[in-house]
Amino acid sequence: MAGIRGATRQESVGVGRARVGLLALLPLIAWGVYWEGQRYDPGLLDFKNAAARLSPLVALFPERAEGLARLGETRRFDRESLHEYVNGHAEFFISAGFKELVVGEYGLPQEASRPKVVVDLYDMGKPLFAFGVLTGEGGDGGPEAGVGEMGFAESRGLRFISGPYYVKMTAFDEGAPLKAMGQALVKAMGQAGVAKAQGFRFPEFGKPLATRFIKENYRGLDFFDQVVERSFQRGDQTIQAFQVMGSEARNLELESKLLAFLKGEEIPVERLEKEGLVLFQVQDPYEGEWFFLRTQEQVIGAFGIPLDAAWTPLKEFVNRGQTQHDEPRS
Amino acid sequence: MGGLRGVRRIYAAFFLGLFGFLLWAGEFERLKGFEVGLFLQLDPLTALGGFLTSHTLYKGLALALLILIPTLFLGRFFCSWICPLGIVNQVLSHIFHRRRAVESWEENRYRPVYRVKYYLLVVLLVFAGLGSLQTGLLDPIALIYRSFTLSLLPAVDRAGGGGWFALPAVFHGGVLIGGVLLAILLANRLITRFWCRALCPLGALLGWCAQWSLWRIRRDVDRCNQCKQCLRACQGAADPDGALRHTECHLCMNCIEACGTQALHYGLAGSRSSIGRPLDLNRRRVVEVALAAVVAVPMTRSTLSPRSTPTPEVIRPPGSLPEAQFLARCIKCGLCMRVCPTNVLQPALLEAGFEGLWTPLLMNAVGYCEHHCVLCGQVCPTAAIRPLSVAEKVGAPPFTKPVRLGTAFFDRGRCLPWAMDVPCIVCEETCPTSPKAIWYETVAITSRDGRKVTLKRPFVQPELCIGCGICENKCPVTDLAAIRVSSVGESRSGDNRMLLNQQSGWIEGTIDTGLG
Ligand code: SF4
Ligand code: SF4
Ligand code: SF4
Repeated sequence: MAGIRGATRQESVGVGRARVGLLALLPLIAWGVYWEGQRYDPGLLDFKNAAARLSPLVALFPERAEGLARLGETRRFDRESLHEYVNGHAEFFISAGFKELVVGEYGLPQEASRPKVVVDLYDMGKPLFAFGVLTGEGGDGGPEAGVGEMGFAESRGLRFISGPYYVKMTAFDEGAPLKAMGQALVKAMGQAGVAKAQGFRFPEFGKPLATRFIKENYRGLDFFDQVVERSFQRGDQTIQAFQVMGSEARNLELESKLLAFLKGEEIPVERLEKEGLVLFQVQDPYEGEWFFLRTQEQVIGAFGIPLDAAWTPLKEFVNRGQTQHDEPRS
Repeated sequence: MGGLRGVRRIYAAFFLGLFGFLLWAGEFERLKGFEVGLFLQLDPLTALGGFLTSHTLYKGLALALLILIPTLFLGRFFCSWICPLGIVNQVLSHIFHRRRAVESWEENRYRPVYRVKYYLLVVLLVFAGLGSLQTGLLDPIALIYRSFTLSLLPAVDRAGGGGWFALPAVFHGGVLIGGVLLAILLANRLITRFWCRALCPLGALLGWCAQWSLWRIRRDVDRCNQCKQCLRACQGAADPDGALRHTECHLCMNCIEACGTQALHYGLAGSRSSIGRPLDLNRRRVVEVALAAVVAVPMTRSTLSPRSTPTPEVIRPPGSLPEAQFLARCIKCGLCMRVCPTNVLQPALLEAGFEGLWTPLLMNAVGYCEHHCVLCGQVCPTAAIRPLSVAEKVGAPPFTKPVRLGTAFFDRGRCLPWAMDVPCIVCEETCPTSPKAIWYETVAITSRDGRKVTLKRPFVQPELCIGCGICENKCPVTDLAAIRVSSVGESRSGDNRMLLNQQSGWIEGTIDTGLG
């Protein structure tokens, strides 16, 4: 028995050591798992779907809207990846100032893979750029949407702008509550939406046909940027009016660059003063006769209409003030 | 001596916690570099089965040696100290059992039915030896991962416990998968650790290794007064009160603690230690079972399956090996389905034949393969899905071609612009390839009611299509999409090709699996 008791004492010591050794192993294992967890290639996890959560725009997508639930996570696209979503059309957005796009889908939770409404929210950086893509994408056709600062309802969709955001909603179901959802989104935008799109009124030169926004190099002139151009139908003529909105100093700079360019090209320009307004009439061998004038807030002009014919609407427009909010179809 | 039971409990809590943590970390947003398949890598049955079928040991599986080698010396410590299913069984048995002593003695005695696990192990190893990897069906680690991933966690999500998708994930046949685990857990109500004692093939493998262990539970016959307290506490049906069956002993150390006379210890034999009993196995029965398995393997392959004939709906995740090699490696653990951010990966039922039961398939009605995602290959513990880089998947330099999962086809009878004169370009908009695999032709038509309609009618350019399935997933024709992906053209197969399309030059040659 003495031997056995002796053995027990030895074993007790051995077990004591084993216990310590075994317990010491656990923090090592835990540390190893943690350490391994921190070593990874972020590129492997950086796919577009997950990255959407990093965008502050995601907060604008409510979990529920008008009885529909948001299905899955929102998806985010930036300048590099936009072509994955709107390939063939991505350049249109990028050249108009695009910053990011977040896409959310809404439907019934029990039909998770079948969205009823897809909401594309483009952050264009500035209200002017948002306006540019609104009018540039499919023109300013369709009935007024009554959502945001300006928008159009289409057969299965709704497009509108609010502040720097351009929102495009596509319905896959008759009767999807697009308008109400759009209004909820505008509400969620809160302060963001308050920064109203600037006035994009034009003189009433005729029946508006289309409006587009040209971010850079209007008519090939490298100093002529951020132009809103609207075409009008007048009889069988097409008129193209343009305007650039900016600070007084910027407008002045544009005016002097335009004049310098015309002088350099030896294109005749006549300075006219008419009822208190200063205008420049250009006899352009390539573009025909056109004119422009500068106000405090903008530089505006038109191609394809003689100044005489343009005078009344132009005068009315300047008198009405340029800061008013635009109506969708001028 | 009883201190070892305390250490075992700490280990059990630690490894159960680690299992839970790794499950939690397996959600794609938390994934980072965590070895979410750590338990599978530690699993000797996974390693052995995969070695027999593929004749290679994929890197992480070498960790299994950390379990196997100590088992040869120390016994089946894995079963009570590390195995999450074993630990859960143990906890439930403890909760369920409120028996009188005499009933516990009866219940805890070794029974001949406990040999079944060895026969199951033989069957699985013979299958593996003949190239059919079915260990994952019954391997406890694969089983518990699969059950949690494909059934229990989605059920918790649905019950409002938060989710890894914004909506609860859905899995094809998940209830069957979860049902197996629930049955195993409920069996503890009848017999303590019934699964571990009677059915677990990993336990059988470890028990077989434990035959030669030097360190064991030993009983000092002089000190023992035959009170049978040890038998009452035994988790493994190892008969500690008699000639101990160390192949059945899970090293729970309960018996040592229960013994009032300190007759039991864990360690080397003393001069008065009782003898042990050898593995209880009938050799003749083993041979019979092995022969039955030899016959069963060709039977399981005699059904129509993608191993023999390309099957349109068997679309495997990006990086998957050719079908025969894929089946030789996939252990049906469901890790890939756990990390997939779109829920597109679903467990097969019989779509991929019997051998493909619970292996991953893409079901585009549920999700789609995210263009820049390669997670499934990163977590697959056996490289059934090879780890790809994003560049390799999308075919960015230095790679020349993207990985293709299949090809999309229009069903013009269902497509809105083709069949209903309704404008729609959802598929073209969502197609992620550059240039897009879907293009359209603008046509002006007069509809039946005399309206002039301008439509963009879409087409697929097959050599550009990667089979990601987003078009199918987003198609507004809801029940059966008007564009659907089938497996033809998948990169992993040299045969699954549109044979008459050779002149367009998109038929690939040999397949480089990257595994040598
Ligand atoms: S393919 Fe999926 S289920 Fe199969 S072993 Fe890999 S991770 Fe597990
Ligand atoms: S690569 Fe595709 S199938 Fe694999 S996890 Fe990512 S999305 Fe899912
Ligand atoms: S499956 Fe559809 S979306 Fe994906 S690449 Fe092919 S055509 Fe494009």
